[in-house]
Amino acid sequence: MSLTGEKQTGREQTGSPGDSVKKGDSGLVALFFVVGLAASLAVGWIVFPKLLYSKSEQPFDFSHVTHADAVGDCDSCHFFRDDGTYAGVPTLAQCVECHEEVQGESEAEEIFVNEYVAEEKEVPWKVYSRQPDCVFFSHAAHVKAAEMECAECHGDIGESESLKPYEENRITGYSRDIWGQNIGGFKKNSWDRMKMDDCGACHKETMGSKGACFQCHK
Amino acid sequence: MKINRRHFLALGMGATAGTMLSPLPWKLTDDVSIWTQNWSWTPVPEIGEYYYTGGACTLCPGGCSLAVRKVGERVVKIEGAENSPINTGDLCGVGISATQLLYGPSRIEGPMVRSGKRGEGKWKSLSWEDAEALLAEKLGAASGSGVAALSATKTGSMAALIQRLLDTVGSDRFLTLPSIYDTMEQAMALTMGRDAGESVGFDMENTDLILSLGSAVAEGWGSPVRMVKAAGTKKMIQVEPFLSTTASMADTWVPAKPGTEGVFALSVAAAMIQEKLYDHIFVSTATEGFEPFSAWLLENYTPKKAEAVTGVSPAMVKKVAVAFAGARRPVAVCGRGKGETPVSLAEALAVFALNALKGSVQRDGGLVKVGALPYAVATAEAEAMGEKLAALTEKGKTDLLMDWGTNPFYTLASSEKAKEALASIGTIVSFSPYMDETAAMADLILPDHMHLEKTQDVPVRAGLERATVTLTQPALAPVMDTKHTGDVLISVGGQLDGGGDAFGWDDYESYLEESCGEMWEALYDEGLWQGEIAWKKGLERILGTSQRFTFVIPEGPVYTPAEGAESSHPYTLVPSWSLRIASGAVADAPFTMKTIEDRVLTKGLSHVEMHPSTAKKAGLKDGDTATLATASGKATVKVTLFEGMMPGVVAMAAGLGHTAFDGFIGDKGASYTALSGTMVDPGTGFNCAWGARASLTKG
Amino acid sequence: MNTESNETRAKKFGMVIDLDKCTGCGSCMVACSAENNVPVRKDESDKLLSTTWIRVYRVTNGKDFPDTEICYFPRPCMHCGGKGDHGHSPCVSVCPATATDYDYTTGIVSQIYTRCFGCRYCMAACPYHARYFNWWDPVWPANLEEGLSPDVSPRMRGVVEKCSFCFHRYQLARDKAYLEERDVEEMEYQTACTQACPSGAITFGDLDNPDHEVYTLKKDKRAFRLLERLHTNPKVYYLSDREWVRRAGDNYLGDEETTKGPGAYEHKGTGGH
Repeated sequence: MSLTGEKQTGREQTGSPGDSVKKGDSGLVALFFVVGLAASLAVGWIVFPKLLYSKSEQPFDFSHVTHADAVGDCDSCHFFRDDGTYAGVPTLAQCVECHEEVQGESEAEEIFVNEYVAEEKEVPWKVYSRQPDCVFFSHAAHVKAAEMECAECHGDIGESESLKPYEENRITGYSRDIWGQNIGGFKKNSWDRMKMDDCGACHKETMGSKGACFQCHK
Repeated sequence: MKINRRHFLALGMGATAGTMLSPLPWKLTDDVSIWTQNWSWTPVPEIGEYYYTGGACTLCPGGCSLAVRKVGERVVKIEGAENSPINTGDLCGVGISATQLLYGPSRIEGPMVRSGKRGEGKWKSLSWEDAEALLAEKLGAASGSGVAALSATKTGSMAALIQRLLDTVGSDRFLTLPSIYDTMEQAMALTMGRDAGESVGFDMENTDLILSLGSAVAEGWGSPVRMVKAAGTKKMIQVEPFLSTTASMADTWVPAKPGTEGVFALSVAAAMIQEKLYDHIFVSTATEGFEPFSAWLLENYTPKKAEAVTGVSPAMVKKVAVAFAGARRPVAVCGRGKGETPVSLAEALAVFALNALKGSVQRDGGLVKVGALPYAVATAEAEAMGEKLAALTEKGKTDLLMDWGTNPFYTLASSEKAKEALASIGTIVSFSPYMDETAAMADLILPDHMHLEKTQDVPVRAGLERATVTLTQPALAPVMDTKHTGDVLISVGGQLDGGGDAFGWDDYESYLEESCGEMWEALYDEGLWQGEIAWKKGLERILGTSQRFTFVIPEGPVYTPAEGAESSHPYTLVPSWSLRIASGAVADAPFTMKTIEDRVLTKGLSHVEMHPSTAKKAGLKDGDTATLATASGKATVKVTLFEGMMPGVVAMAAGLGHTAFDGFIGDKGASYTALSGTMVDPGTGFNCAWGARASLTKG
Repeated sequence: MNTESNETRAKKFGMVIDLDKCTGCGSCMVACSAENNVPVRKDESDKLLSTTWIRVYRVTNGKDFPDTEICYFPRPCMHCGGKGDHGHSPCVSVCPATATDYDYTTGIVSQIYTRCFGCRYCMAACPYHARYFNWWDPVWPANLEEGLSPDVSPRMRGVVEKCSFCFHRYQLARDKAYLEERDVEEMEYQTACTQACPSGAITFGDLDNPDHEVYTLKKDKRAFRLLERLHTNPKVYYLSDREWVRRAGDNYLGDEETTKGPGAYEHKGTGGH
């Protein structure tokens, strides 16, 4: 305010205070808000998962469908041992029962026989369903007692012709399949996500309680 | 329309809102929390198929068979074999902890030759070919009589091979660590006759009373697991100067002065004769020499006379005599502690006589003959073992010493003098898989596999009632670059002059099969071979001659006082024994070290137990640090007061004081052996030290 | 707390230890350490730091030579059920992270390392000193990592650990039982210490199952429990003929009478014996 008591020029010129802010400014503010919102949503939903997960291939390709046709169901290669423990991913010895030498024409098999069978080296498969060391999972309880299908937790992998790339969370080191493909953690099928809460929810639904801690932990 | 702060605020709020509505912060939090638990140094043990393989333990002479649990190719747990008649599914803590010996830091990685000063710990690796050639060279260069070898077993395929090597270089110095069985075998020869290879056993399974003259029945005497079961189920009378676990479990504890157990046994025999409590029929029909023996006993060892030596009242002696005589099938045993060291021949004869007085000889529940092991490649019986061992601890008598599983720098170092003599030996060769005290002082190490990595016969000498051999089995491929000493000896022997024929086998495995002869099939199929019961039963027994016994009046003193003058060394130091502390050639693994109480070992210092009145006399309080000194050496110890100790007696745990191995095992406590000194038994020539006079000064 | 059961009938796993048979040999301690990947330190003599899930204590009758007697007390975790077996174990009641929890279907108090953040409140609460803390990361030098069992998670620093009644063995036994469509049998689930005891002093099983040995043994007139009057309702029973041993099982004042038997001070609730 000047000493002579004259009013400020700006106010006089524009008339009522805040007029220009409302008309042009507010739109710009809203625009910035929307830009900020959209950008962060895009980062959170699209950029973040791209950065978070690294992608790598399995040591060589493998077709479940070919083997299922040739050998049989899931339990031909993924079976229960006599003591009730689960064999999980087959060892070299199992595959060698048929693949002592190259059986077919695929490049993948060639790699297998030359680099692994010949060198007596176990294949370092990247296991999509690997859980932390604190987890105890009993296949016998779920497959035998609860009579669940393999696909209920593992998806339709048995019908795949090749192994999908192994996407690994750079921070935790676990497969993307544990949290789920959907970065928001939303799932459609039972096999889309396999964190502790998913196990807990199914237990609660089917058995009425999540059970003792040591049932699933060691 | 300037872009001002408000716009950036709006941008920020939009970004915040968007971020909150996106999974980013939530997923990131979840991921980071998992990341905080992902510590790369916390092991994640690999999963795999579960297997059990068999095997046998060699960490003590007990002869237990193993069930080794594996996950894939890894050994994760050792348990007792269910179908073993000896340990019936159980195992002592030392045997269970062998996984830590297998995988632990004491392991020697491969053949090594010393590159610095002896004992400095500087080594140079070399190939097996070079190491074997080097040994052959040294053996060739040494004079025959200057070469000696220590063997963990007296019989068996390995003992025979070691003897063969010594024969080839012109040496007869085949040595083993003498134990109670050596003394008892000599006593058996005098009283019951002994064919070559026969040993002594006790039919524990069928006895109803065990009269133990100082034997640690519940703490590792005989076959430890077998005896622990006996301690829990049979009546026991324990004669010992302090309250051990065995004494506490016994129905009667007789606190006899240390070292006087033999005299006590004779006083019980005298009481049995005085009160006519002995088996008249047996004595008159199946024994000889009873009259002179009985006369000698009644003149010298009546309970009243014995009291002056043993400190045990005649009333107590009579009580024991009545209990022993009143049992249907009692048995008397001897061998102080675990029986790792011999007793005097006189003492063994006394205990044998006690058994004979009740007819507990060659019958169910008693003292029995154990047949010789039918090895096709025999081991010659070593003569004058006592003298030969003494020569080891005299300077200048040995140019080259080979140690296979006895660790003499710990087990034979019973004084500073002995240790110095051993250290002066020209060349020391160790076959130990672990860096034990002897390997640490060796010039050449050719590490053997440890018992979980090899196939080998284990002749059992643990007072079992019948001849027994077990077979170790490889549970996994060798962890280090080790080689079976049998293969090494065959290779080295073949390189010596005149050795080509004597060592004609391709490898140890083929030699093993040949040497085990008729035992091989059972050994290979079941991991165990047992002979027949060597005594007759029922009518056969009465009509036959297997039970004959000759009462022998012992020559030499039945009681030898401990070394040292009472004035300067007013206390008596004796060892105490425990299944938690391995006390032979090997040491406890970390898991077993864990079980040692802090009243026995604290921060690297051994404790000595004593009665409160003894401590008061010495001016010591519970927890004080003191210097324990005997004529053979001294050690810093801590004081533990225990009312169960006989006043004037001080006990220290045997098996501690290792200086080698690794940081978990080594430098913990003092070695009892190093303080124990020597008491040469005139009857056998063995060192029968049962204790030593000691002094205790504060600080 | 959820009291509904996943099983057809709730079990109550417990132990009976015959002190007149125990020789203090320590096989149980070693077997437990080997079974459960228990960490080792270079100096195990500091018993405040030495981790032994089952520890064998030694007591004497206090009498002078030659009337002295000793007795060994193997002490695993008691898996306290609290009054009436409502799950108010001292440790479970205080854990802020529910890292330790009482399971009604088995009676086992579990300890889950990934939830524990090391406040050690449970250690203060446990009257039996059955819990141990990892002040430092367990170190497995040389090849010792090869000997680790995959059935028990190795711990990191900052977490409490304790005897688990080898529930991993229960899990493995159930695996086999599911495969064969039947229940777990008594001898299929035995703890490592029970299996290792050479004198057969330790017996393990379902305290509520009349076919199991522990069911009969717990009712033996020689049976007593440690610190009975704290109402922790422990699952480990001790047997001894000797009166002084029974008195060693609790803090008695001068001429106080010895507790008549296990559960003598039990309040009848909806759970319990």
